[in-house]
Amino acid sequence: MVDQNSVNDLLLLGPGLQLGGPPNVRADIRATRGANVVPTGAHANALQLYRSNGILSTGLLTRNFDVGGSPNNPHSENDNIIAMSNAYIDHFVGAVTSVINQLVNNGVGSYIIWNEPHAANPPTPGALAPRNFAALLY
Amino acid sequence: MYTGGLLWPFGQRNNDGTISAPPASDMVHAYLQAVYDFLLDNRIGRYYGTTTPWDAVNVHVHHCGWQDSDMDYLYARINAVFDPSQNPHIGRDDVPDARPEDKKGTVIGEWGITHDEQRNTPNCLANAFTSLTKRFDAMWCFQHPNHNQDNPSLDPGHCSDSGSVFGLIEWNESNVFVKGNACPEWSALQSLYGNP
Repeated sequence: MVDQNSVNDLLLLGPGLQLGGPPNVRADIRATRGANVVPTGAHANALQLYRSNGILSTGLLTRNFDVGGSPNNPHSENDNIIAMSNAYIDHFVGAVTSVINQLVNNGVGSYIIWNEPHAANPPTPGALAPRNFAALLY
Repeated sequence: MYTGGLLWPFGQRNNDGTISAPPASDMVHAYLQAVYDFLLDNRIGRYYGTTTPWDAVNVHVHHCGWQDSDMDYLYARINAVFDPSQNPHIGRDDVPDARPEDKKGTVIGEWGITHDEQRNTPNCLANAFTSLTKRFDAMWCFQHPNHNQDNPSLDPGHCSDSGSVFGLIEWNESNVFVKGNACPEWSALQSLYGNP
């Protein structure tokens, strides 16, 4: 939970947090497990709290933002890439567009697309072939 | 927009034991080059008059115990992806089409140490902080509330926990977030932020 208590502790870390500008929190924007729908209201409340305390946010959009194989996105992030996209990416982009439009006034200055796409050995959900990661970014 | 963080897998187990620093950097290089080369294959990049789909390349450098020269090597391997003299990708007109401008920035999307490392490795946090801040454009500390990376069901846990446990503070929550004890990393990081 992000509330004033947790934000206060971040601010107490000190003025040096502003080494190169305002402090910036990486905020993991996830869909509700099972339904695969992002609770934008709850995220907006947290992001707005950061903003009102002078903290910027960077939205982290991983596989947990739009879970492949879920009821509303049955596709796989590693499906074949044709013309720099696939059905999973199309759905991801649609979800991103919707969520960004709802969070745009809440201090989110930037986004990180995916997390550790090459990390797992053996591959686990979230590992992406390089061409799929390139197409997703594009 | 930043690329999803590419893990620098220093210290991770593989079939040969644990991954040392140079192979970890080579693995980041190999994946990033494959991503970039696919973009170049599709005529995306400065050479083609378009732009790569990010504002910065993002790397995750956890733990400590590496040498400063290891970060030089990691940084050089990232830059090599975009250097036409080091990236053999041949594009339109049969000429190398990689361009340094396509990298743009380089950030650390996650950095941080475990409680074990804080206890057992002198200057672990300070060495990692110093080594990273002098090379990269921005850094996100991993992470604020105590978190067991391998087994989140054990959260919130304690500063005394062993294993892959990161965090600056103990905590609990019911209706509100309640801060518990600050771990030694909290004051160490505060000192570093105040005395860069």
